[in-house]
Amino acid sequence: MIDWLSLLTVLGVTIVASLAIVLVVGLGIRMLATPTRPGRVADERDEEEDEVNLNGRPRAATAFAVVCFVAFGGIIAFGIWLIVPAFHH
Amino acid sequence: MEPWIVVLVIAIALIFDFTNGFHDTANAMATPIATRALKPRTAVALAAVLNLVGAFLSTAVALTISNGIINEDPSGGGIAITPAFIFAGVMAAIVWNVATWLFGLPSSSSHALFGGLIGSAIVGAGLGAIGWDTLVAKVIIPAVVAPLVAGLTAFLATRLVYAVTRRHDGNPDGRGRFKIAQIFSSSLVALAHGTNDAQKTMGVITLTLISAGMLPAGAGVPFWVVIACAVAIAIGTYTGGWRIIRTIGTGLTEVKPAQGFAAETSTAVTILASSHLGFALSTTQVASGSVIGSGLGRRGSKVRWGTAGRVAAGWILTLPASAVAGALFALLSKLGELGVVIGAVVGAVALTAMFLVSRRTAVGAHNVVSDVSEAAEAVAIRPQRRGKRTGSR
Repeated sequence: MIDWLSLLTVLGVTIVASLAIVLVVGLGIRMLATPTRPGRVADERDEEEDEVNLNGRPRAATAFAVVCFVAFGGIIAFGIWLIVPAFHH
Repeated sequence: MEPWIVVLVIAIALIFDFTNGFHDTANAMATPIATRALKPRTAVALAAVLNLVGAFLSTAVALTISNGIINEDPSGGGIAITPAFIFAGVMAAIVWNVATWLFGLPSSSSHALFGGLIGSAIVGAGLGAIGWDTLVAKVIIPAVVAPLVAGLTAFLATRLVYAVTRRHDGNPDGRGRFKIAQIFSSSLVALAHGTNDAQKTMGVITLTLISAGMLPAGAGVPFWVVIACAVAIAIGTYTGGWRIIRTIGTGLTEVKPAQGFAAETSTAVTILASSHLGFALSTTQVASGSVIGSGLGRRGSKVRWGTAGRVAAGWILTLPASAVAGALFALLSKLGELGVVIGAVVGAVALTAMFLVSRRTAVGAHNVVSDVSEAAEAVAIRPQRRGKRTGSR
């Protein structure tokens, strides 16, 4: 009576998809929180150079974060596609 | 069939739709309200709009109230589902929905509706009117599965999201940014809810019109019914079942932004995966399961099992309790038109009484998250162990 196959399918798909989504968003948010050098504190030289930004992050990190959030946007769009029957029936 | 009974059933069905909306606001919006990703009023307004939109999005309304749990087709040897029957079942569902709201319990509106109709059908047509196999396969098993699937998923998702964003150098981890992501994940839950739940009431009203001969058999849903149901569920959602929001948002466990995002993602994915892979699960049970799972997954958080136990008890009781209420209303309906009127009056008195009781300890947008510590004290079952809690992670 229990449809084990569809139950396991739902369980597997749900876990894999959820982990993928939180991984993408988590990585994006982690990238945004990347400072130039981990644990670095201001020294005297920094105080003389105005352009040194202690919280500035490498461009690569910003770019990776953007990629992550674009992917998240794609996942949201897919979710809406799944919700609206007119799109897939 | 007297036209006034049809009008009464439609009115009752729309009231049920309203209670369905305010009962289920919490499924999508309890966690973003709890983490202050959204202000309470903004959150319920967003959910209301998405429910309104969602109700119009679905093209095919399933013209069955009970999904085969009750044999609704008289030509197939089943019972003729008359408006008086439907009245008794829906009235019972409303009373149970309002009662569980009074206690802040996130119970399933679908279970309440099925239960009410089952009780009403048993009184009207005997035990044979119920498809017991369908009941087990479509209601009982999913009710057990939903919190487990969602809970396990949310547990793993929470672990992962904290592992990915953890910083070992003491710099800020930026997890507050999950509040923005939360808005998207909870909006998906609200939209999915709108496409599913308003349809139930559309089905009830359309079937009532067909059984009264006001629509031909096999007719589609009239557009005014779609509008009425969409508006009723949206108003209900906006009204906000604040008591239930408090239970899910702050009663089960303390929710942080990253954890809230993991829970909402698990809820959205569980609902979408189950509805598309043939194992439809209750939004309410999925949402509560996700919050508990995420509470287990976040280090330093604790799940208040006392509250979780009350929620679980509410789930177990919903179907039988609303069935008993449905049976009682159906007994009244058997007296004829006078019985239906008495049933409506009894229902109205019960609802008014519960509303008045609720005024004694009003919960609204202003205090839905501010009494967290007080609520925690009320439900805490054992004192905190020293040194176990790692603080605000």
